[in-house]
Amino acid sequence: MSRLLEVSDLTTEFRSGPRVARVVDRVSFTLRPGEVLGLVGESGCGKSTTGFSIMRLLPPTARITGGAVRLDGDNLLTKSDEEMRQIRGGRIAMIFQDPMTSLNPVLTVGEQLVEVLREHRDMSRPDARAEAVRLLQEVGIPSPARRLDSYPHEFSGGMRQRMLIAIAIACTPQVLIADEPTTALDVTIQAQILRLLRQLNTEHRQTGILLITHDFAVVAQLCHRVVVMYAGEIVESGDVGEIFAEPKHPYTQALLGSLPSRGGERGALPAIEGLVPDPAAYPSGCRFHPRCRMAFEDCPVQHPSRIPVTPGHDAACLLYRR
Amino acid sequence: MTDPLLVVRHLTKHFPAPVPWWAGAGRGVVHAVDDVSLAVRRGETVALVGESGCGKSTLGRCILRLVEPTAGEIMYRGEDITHASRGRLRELRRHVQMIFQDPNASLNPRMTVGGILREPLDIYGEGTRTQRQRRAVELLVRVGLPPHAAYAYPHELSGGQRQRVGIAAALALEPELIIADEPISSLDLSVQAQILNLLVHLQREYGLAFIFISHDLGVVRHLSDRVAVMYLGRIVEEAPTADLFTNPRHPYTQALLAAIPQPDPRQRAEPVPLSGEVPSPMHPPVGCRFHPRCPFAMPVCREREPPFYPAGDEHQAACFLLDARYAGQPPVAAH
Repeated sequence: MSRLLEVSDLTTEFRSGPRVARVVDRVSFTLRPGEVLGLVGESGCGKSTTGFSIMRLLPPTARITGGAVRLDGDNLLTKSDEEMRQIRGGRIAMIFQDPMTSLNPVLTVGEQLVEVLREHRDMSRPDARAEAVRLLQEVGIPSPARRLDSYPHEFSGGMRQRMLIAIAIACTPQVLIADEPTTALDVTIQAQILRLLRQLNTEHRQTGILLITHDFAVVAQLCHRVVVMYAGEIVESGDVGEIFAEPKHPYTQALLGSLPSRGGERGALPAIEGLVPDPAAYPSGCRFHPRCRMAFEDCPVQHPSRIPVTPGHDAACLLYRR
Repeated sequence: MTDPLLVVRHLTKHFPAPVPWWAGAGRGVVHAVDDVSLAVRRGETVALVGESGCGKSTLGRCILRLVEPTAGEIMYRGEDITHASRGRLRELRRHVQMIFQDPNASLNPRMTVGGILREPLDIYGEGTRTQRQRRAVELLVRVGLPPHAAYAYPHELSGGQRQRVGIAAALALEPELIIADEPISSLDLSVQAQILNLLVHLQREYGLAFIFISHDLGVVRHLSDRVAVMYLGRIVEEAPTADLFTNPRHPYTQALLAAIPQPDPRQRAEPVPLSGEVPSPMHPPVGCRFHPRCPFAMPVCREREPPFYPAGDEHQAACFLLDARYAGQPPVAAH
């Protein structure tokens, strides 16, 4: 079993004055070649910060304080800024929820694609242009040769996301990090983009996709394995079929149970009471215990580690302690 | 059957779209809502669904006269309120309230929660000052907030708590109809279920009617009695919820339902997604507005706008496939 991307004990802190928020706390997972791994959780759970930490694209107030991120055995956290610049867009690429903020509004689509191809693949200008047309075609943009000279604002949201995907796959990256790639899109457009991502995953067999999302339906449709985050930590991970059929962590169980499309019609949904905790003041012991229905006397005092429940499936919950 | 609480007939809202000076003279028109008719009965939840830009929010705002309709009429309990005076509207808005998507934008940041809840009672001169104070606290408890939340400012609350305040404010005057515009879209997953439960509970307790505006069909299926599907400013299909989800007749409804990703890895549908995108509401297609994306489009669809055809009990769809003269074959379900 090869490991394409191996994240171990990754810890990222945000500081503002005396306040330290450990937004990502000893997060470990692996992504295999050709795999789509879902990183799911609610807002503020640290899933996006995990993605940005892997890319080393953090704001100045944030710092990676521990752990390692190995891409094919290479620790990205020890790379120089210049080396990272080469790796980003080359070996790892990222797409975002809002494509407009990640595209340059004053350059045409063609110029942005050509720039990436010349920088990372050392192509001549005419070759890069031809490749750009091929890429736009691949992501399903109609009349690609003509659209090359359009500006991002001339595209719709769905088309912009396609463009961003074209830029991201331009250098056939080993790892693609997709942060809420369909959240801002309408449902029929979302279906188109999900289909495109699935095609890319089967055609570029070796690319591993880390899909960051809050949407369990998107995970169910696209992922092979799932990692569930809560309050900066991984609480459960496993095969997608098992997570949906037999979730082990009470948080995963509750989240899946509260989806209206899985619940009965009109009955009360089993909601999770309370709120996601503040990253600067996590509860003691298990961070989910104040909201957990199964909590018992040890939960507020003992911090659970990830316990294997079946091969390849683990849950950080004292219920599974032996 | 009791008389409907609200009847909307042929409602149309066109927004002028200023054309930039360099694009030539004249003005464009955005056809936000075009000839929409709808009825809501007492205690009923009617969902308005559709993708962004379909006109569902504008329709909701027209009903409250937050935007003035261009044409058509709005009847509330049999009274035509399309041209009601400001004073009359003020009276009516006691009975029809709105809950917005973003409670950050709809709650006054400089007022305490108590003040926000007291304001509508003050305006309508309900009871004495002490009674109004007490009522504000009652409302907080009703929506599941602690009484001391009355002293908090909106920014001190979480998104879910703010939405609870928005709901409490809408309930303050004991309305008969609440128009809820994407009330849970901006909330976290675990909080969405809390707010949905609250809405269902309040509806049962007060016998409220709801117009629930949403793009989330899973939520709509859970919550509503009837559904109206909108596309480019028009209602294309209307049906009781269960009927719509099991027997959609309009190709757009079929495509919309097929596009919802199921939260179940065993149901990895590979439906052919609807190709293309929603055209600009400034230049809606001639004929049926859906025909450029419709897999079943016929010549007549490019020429005329389809009228509504009955498709079952309280079920109607605006599609020529339901007309025996045009359709040799019944529409094929997309999934």
